[in-house]
Amino acid sequence: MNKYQESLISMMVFLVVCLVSFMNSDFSLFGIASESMREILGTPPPAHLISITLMVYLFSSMVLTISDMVYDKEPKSKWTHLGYRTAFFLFYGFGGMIAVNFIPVMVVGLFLYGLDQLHILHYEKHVVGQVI
Amino acid sequence: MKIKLSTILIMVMIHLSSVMGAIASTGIREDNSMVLVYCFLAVCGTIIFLQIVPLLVIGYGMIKAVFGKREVSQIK
Repeated sequence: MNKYQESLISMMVFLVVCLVSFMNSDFSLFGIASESMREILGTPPPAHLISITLMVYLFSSMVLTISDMVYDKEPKSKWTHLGYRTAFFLFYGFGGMIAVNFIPVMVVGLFLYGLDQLHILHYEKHVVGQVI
Repeated sequence: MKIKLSTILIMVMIHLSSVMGAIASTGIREDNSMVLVYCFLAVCGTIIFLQIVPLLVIGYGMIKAVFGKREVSQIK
């Protein structure tokens, strides 16, 4: 399985996560937890801090991918990024704020996947000399 | 009258222990677990170490390349 297919599969998994989150957008994970579980979990992080983290993640990931493209570096496997992108849904989900913040997380995720695909295509075309 | 430092420390600790007991009994301070916040901080830390640090290294390299000394090649 090459990097392009790997990235596509990762994007498909992310889309499934998006779909599940959208279907349960009014659902608070914190609300369904038992009292003892809530005591263990504590209060969920505030939404504005999660949004700031999302923006920092978007900016840093975008600049790193573009710099890799400019310097013709080989695309890396980015399965950990699926974890980050899912984690944002989870944190919003614990606060019951997915309905408000669903679009930004999905747009950021899909934009970064698009950029990753562009990086892979650029590398295969200009560095390896092979068109996928 | 000389009072040793250790004696003062013991007195302070005894006093604080009684005060903490009083606070705990009145419910002024609650020990809330913050597992979710710690998980969030862990994700933030991972993003900082894996994303921001390489970004800063690239930024430093670019600034160094722009403002650093340039080697002038001499053609003989």
